[in-house]
Amino acid sequence: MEQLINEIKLKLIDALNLDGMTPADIDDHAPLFGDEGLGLDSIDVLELIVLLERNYGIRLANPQEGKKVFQSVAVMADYVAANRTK
Amino acid sequence: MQRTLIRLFRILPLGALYGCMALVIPFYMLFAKGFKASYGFYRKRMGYGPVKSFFHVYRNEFAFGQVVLDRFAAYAGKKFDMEVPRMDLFRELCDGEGGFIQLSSHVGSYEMVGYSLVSPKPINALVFAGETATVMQNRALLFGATNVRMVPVSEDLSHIFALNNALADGEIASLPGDRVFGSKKTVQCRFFGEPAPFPAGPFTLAAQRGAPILVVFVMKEGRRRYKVLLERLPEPEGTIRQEQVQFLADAYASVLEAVVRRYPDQWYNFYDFWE
Repeated sequence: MEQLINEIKLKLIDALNLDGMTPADIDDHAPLFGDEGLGLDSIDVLELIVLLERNYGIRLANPQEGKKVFQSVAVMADYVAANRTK
Repeated sequence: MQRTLIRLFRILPLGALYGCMALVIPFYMLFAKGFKASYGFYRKRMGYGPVKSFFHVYRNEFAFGQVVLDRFAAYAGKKFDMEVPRMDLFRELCDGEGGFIQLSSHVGSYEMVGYSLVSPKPINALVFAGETATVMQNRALLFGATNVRMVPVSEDLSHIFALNNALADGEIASLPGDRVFGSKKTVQCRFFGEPAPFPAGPFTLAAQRGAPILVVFVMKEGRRRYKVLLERLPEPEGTIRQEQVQFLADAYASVLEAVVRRYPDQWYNFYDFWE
């Protein structure tokens, strides 16, 4: 799981263009959206949806799923581990 | 109220309605919030003198009024001539496997598009939330068929999922390229010689999904005549997302500028676009 968390962080940094950040700078449990944590917005959600689809074959079809999955990097990793098709 | 208006439009000739409007506009110009922005646009961006600029503000308001009246007239069943010189661009995208993005602008009258661009692919049109149900229904009618879905911008980000699903399923996503709403992220592009903020959303969506962008302008050419101008943006250059988004936004800004220069009275962004 550690490895998957790290991999997801690297993909996040790349996809969201978080210049100068390293995986160590992202707290596994910090919220991805809102004022705390990474403070991502709606365009970033799109980036995350595409990231899951392209890399892990997971298609999130509605905001309820998104809300559940995009809570934190740790939650994302759990979800990916359980649902990945590639 | 809107239903009564539509009934009125069935009875009255369009010319009479335009005439009434011509009389009302000077009063409107005096009090409207957008006067300064509109005047500034003709003075500073188009480089017109003060008198000419004032005259164009009038023409601009008049043209905008016509567009609104035409829309109601169309709801009421009046017919307009729609010419589409580059229909092949639309056909090609419709015949292709994948989805594409139809980019609208606050120029001309995009909503008349349904009369001419009829597609077998469902259209998912991003709209402001909070518009009245009648406006929504009429819009759906205008867009021509039963295969139009209105996607309101929503707090819960359901619009993001809807647009993503649309493109993933080979459908059309329609969104405005010249208005920042939803995400606040912008891209600065050279527009009339100076940087102006364009929304990052539509161009990011295109770059992420690798979806082609078709820019659509529906320009009023005569009392009962519209011309639909289509332009397909080139594939984005650049390896990182930001570069691709900048490339697409720049390409759009330059297409938009060319059309606005050709139809300066049909530019309907009544605020300082460069701020």
